[in-house]
This record gives sequence, structure tokens and C-alpha cells, in this order.
Amino acid sequence: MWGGLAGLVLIAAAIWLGWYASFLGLCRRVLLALVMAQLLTMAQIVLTLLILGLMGRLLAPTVAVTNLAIASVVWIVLVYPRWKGIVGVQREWLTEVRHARLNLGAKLCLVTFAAIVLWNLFTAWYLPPRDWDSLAYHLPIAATYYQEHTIRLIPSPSVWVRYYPIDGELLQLWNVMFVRDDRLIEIAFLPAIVTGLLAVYGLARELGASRSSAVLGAAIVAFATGTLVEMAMSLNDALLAALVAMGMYIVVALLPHRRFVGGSATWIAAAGVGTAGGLCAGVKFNGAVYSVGLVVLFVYSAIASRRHGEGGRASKARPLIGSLAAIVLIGLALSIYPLVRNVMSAGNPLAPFDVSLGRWRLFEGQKQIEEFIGWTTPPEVVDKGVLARFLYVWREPTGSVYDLSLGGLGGGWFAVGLPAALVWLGYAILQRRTVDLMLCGLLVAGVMATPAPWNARYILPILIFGGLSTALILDRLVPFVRASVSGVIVVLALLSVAGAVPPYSTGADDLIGVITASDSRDRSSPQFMHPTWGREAFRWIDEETKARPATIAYGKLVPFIYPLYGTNWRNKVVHLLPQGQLDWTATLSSGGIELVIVNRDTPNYEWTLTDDSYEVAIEDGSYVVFRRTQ
Amino acid sequence: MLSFGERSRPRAHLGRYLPSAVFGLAVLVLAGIYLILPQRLTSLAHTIYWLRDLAAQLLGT
Repeated sequence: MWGGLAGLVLIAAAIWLGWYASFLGLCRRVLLALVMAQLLTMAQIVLTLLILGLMGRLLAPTVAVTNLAIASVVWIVLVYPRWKGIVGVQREWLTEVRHARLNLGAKLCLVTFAAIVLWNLFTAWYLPPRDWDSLAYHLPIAATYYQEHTIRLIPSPSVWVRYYPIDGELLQLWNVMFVRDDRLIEIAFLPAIVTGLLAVYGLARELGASRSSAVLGAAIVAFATGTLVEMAMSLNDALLAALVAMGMYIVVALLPHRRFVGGSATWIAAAGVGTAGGLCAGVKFNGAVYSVGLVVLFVYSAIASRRHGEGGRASKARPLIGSLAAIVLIGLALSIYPLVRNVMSAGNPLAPFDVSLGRWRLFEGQKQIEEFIGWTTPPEVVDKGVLARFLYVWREPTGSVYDLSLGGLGGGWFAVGLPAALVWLGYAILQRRTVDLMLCGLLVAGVMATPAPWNARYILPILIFGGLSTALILDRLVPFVRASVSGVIVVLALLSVAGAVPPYSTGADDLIGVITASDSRDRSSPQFMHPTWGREAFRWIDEETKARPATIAYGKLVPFIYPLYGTNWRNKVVHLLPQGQLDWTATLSSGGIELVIVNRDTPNYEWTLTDDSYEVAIEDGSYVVFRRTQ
Repeated sequence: MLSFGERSRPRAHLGRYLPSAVFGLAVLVLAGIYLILPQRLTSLAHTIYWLRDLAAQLLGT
């Protein structure tokens, strides 16, 4: 494992540093280079894995060689010719940082954030994935691509495994494929989330906030419970928010400063917006709304900055059209695969959702989005109106920060970010601060297009406007009030962090148990499951396959697929979508399936029970494990 | 007028003292509403018990 880990770090460093140095040479601004480097690194990873996967060559050596070859080209073509300038800019930045002064509140926020990131890294290293969505579909998608060395429609009974967008899952796969152990899978999004927070800081600075206020504004986003929790989880809501922040920062930071970076600014911004927008849409379907918003922001900013620049408008039209074409091309490359796959398999790019526009049914799916997510609406809010739901959830009336439906935006949003956003919105309208209004419009449009927007984790991007507003207002408050509001931000941040210290669904003895375990295979997901969902059945499979890995199949209504792989993905998991009993029996036989887990309430149970080749190994509630007898 | 790229803009108070005080008061009231919920204490107590358990496990008591 350690050799693989070293390989992962070296390859990732070669890619990231190459892009960072390239954009430092092109833009001569460190924060911009950091954000561009993170975006381009993710894009390179996603595209190489996707292309190699579609070619059936998704093997660690092939992926490593391909990415190192691309990184070499970047270093030779973009970095080497500008090396002296790059070193100079980096030195200037270090000098500037040494002389930068922050107030106490900002310093406390930075130290607290660093501490919780380190704690999250520590616990993520030892603890296996434990949350519902990760075990049900995010991680099974990554593990399947790894085992099959190819990317194709996964014929799973789970519609989420079959139809979900895959960019986030490819980033998770990247963190496992060289290491051959899933210890890093839960922190696959951490670098992007941290960079997204830097982008919020950068946005606040671009809009006029001081350093300390920009840090405190970014703290509204950073210490939201949803952000803290998803730093070390496979849920992708915080990743989406980070991508939106990065896209917005690139436009606002780059386009008004065209004279500093020459005519290439529009093209660099186009690369950033195309990448951020493409990844937004490639991570989850409703991310496409933010992608469109980023393109609108780009077009507006490009036109507005040209009006204030040199030369006639007509002569500048061609680069804008060209850069728009580049955005569309990059964006589609990063997001089109799941849409095409879904059209080819279900005739609906947004499968499994039934998509209608008013009376017009655009795409026929299994159910409306509301029906899919309706059953997850907690009883506490089910009878409330829209506004009442928001206000109820934003107060976070839950004892656990891990309840991300009845909480997730943090106390900083409710007490500071929300009033600041309302005040700043009014101020921006009065002052005609067009860009501020466009940023707000983009985020509100994203929230409005989100199914179940009362669910806090789905609307994490709105925190960006709360953070920006907070930063901009802090600078305009009289000193005593500024200090008081800063104090409130710090207290609420500490409270969020305190709630996030005990890891999800983990007792202190569980943590000690996995830390002291001598074998990586002992840190298994089933030990953290709720008993209702077949914990004993999954634990039996885990124990049974420790010494001798098995080929395992599963039936309909088996909630979790990921635990079947084992923490080092030792078991081969076969996805079956049978047409009937004969098909089921024949596939079990021809696939060499040794273990089958089924739900008693599905036909899969009867079919396996009447198959002479299998016997019941363990029953746990609705879940039954069969093992092959001959 | 473009409103981005304004790093050098001088600080300007939102009016004078009254708007600042109203905003500060609103923040304190909302923070109070958030903090007064019994769930805050539950969450904090859970963390304290969890850390106590962890310390006890580590110290072997």
C-alpha cells in the first residue's frame, strides 16, 4: 500500500504543480493559479480516466503513464519557458504573505479550520465509509469501474448506480487505484473543497473586502456543518459548492484585469469556466444550472470588461465567440458521458427522473424527482410550507451535525450570513453593483432549480453569497460592532467544529478498534451499519471473505452494495438485472457467483431458494445470504 | 459602472453608527435564537462524552 501511496502522491504532485506553475507564469497571481491548478488537475484526472475507461484500459499503469506524459508536456511547453518569471512571482508572494496582517478572529478561524482538516484526515484514514449514499451508489460505481477496467453502463438493480453522473466517482477512483486500498476514498473531494474556500476568500478580496474580513466571510462557508462533514465523506454537495465558487472567482478575478495578463485572459477564464461548469454538471445533474449561470457571468463580464478596454467592440467579437466555443467544448467533454449513456440505455438523459416542463413531458422516466426524494422528507418538516421549512432547517434543530437534511448550513449562516446577504443584496441594488447582483442571481437560480431546496446540503452554494456579504459588510461596520460580529462568527464556528469532532456513527471504542487493528481488512463498513439494514448479513460476508475473496451478487432492494467489495476491494461484485428466474439462475451459474445477498421481499429470494446450487448461509431480518454448494 | 476589481476602494461605513448597531443587534438576536435551542447543548454534551470516552480508552481506564 505504501508504494502505491507514494506513487499517487508523486503523480498527483507532477500534475498539480505543472498546472500551478503554468498558470502562475500566465496570470502572475498565486490564488488564481491555485484555483486553476485544482480545476485543471481534476479535469485531467476525470478525462484520462473516462477516455481510458471507455477504451477498456482503466489500469493503474496505463493511467499513470498517460497522466505523467500529459504532465511532462505541460512542464516542457508551459512551465520551462517561463521558469524565471514563475520563481520571481512566487518569491514576491512569499514576501507579501510574511507582511500580511490578520485580526484575531481571522487567525482563530484559520487555526480552527486547519485543526479540523487534520482531524478529518486522521479519522478518514482509519474509518471505513459509513454514510448511506456512499455505500449505496457513489462508491460502488468507482469500485465497479476499477474491477472491470472499463467504463460502461452498470447493469445494477439500483437506478442510482445505473444512471448517476460519474465525475465525482472518477475522482474517488483516482484515490484508490494506485493505493489498492480505500483509505483515501473519503477525502477525494477535500483538496477541491479547500480550494473552493480559497476561491470564496479571493472573490471577497476582488469585490473589495480586506484580508481579515475575507477570511471571516469564507469562514461562513468553511464552518457550515455540511462543509465540515463532507470534507471527509463521499457526498458531493460541498464539492459542487466549491466548483461554483471556483468558477465565479475565475471570472471575477480575471476578466477585469485583461491588461495584466495580455489577451490570453479571456482564454484562461474560458478554460476555468468550462472546467468548473463541466465538472458541476458532471458531478450531479442539477449542477448544470450552475454551469449555465457561470457561462452567463462569463459573457457579461467579458463584454463589460471590453467596453472599458481598448479597441472597438466589433474587432473583439471573434475571441468571445471562440472562447464561448471553448467553454462549451470543455464543459461537454466533462459532463456529456452520463447523458449519452442514459439516452442510449433508457432514452432519457436525466434517467431515472421523469422530466416535465409544465404540461409538456420532456423525458419519460420512472418517477418525478419529487417522488424519488419525497420519502426522505423528515416528518418534522413534511407539513410545513416552503418558507417555514427553510426557517426550521436553518435553525438546525438537530442534536447531530451529521443530520444533513435538518441542518447543514451552520449557525454562521443563520446568525450572520443570512442577515448579511439580505442587507448586502439591498445595498448592491441601490449601488448598482452589477457583479454582486449577478453572483447572487446565479446562486439563487441554482437553489431554485434544486429539488427539495429545504434540504440544507443540497443548497450549500448559497453560503457563498452569505460569506461574500459578510466580508463586505464587516469592513463597513464601526469597530466595536465589527469585533462583536467577528466574535459571533468564531463562536459559531467553534460550535460547528465541536459537533463534527465525533465521527459519523462512530463510538470512541470503534475508533480505537480500527486504529489498533493490525489488518486493513478489519476496518469494514458493516461494523458501523444500523442493525435494521442487514448488518449481521454484511458482517458475515465480510468475515467469510477475509481469508478467501469471493465473487458476490446482490438482488433488488439490497440497500448497500459497497460493503460487498471489502475495504481493499478484494471481492468481485457482479451486478445483475435479470429478465426473469431463468435469466437469474443462468447468470448466477455462468458468472461463478459464490455468495448472493437478496431481500426476502423480492422475487430474487424465491429464485435463489429454489436453485439447488445455493443454500442459505445467514438470515438477518429481510436480508438473506446464500452460498454456493456445488 | 463595473463593480469588480475594487481592491483599493477605501472603507466606507454603512451610514454611521445606527445601521452598524442595528446589524450587530440582529446578528446577536439570531445567534441567541440559534444558541438557545436545547439541541446545541445536546450536541456539545455528546462531543464531551465522546472525548471523555476516547480519553478513557486511551488511558486504559
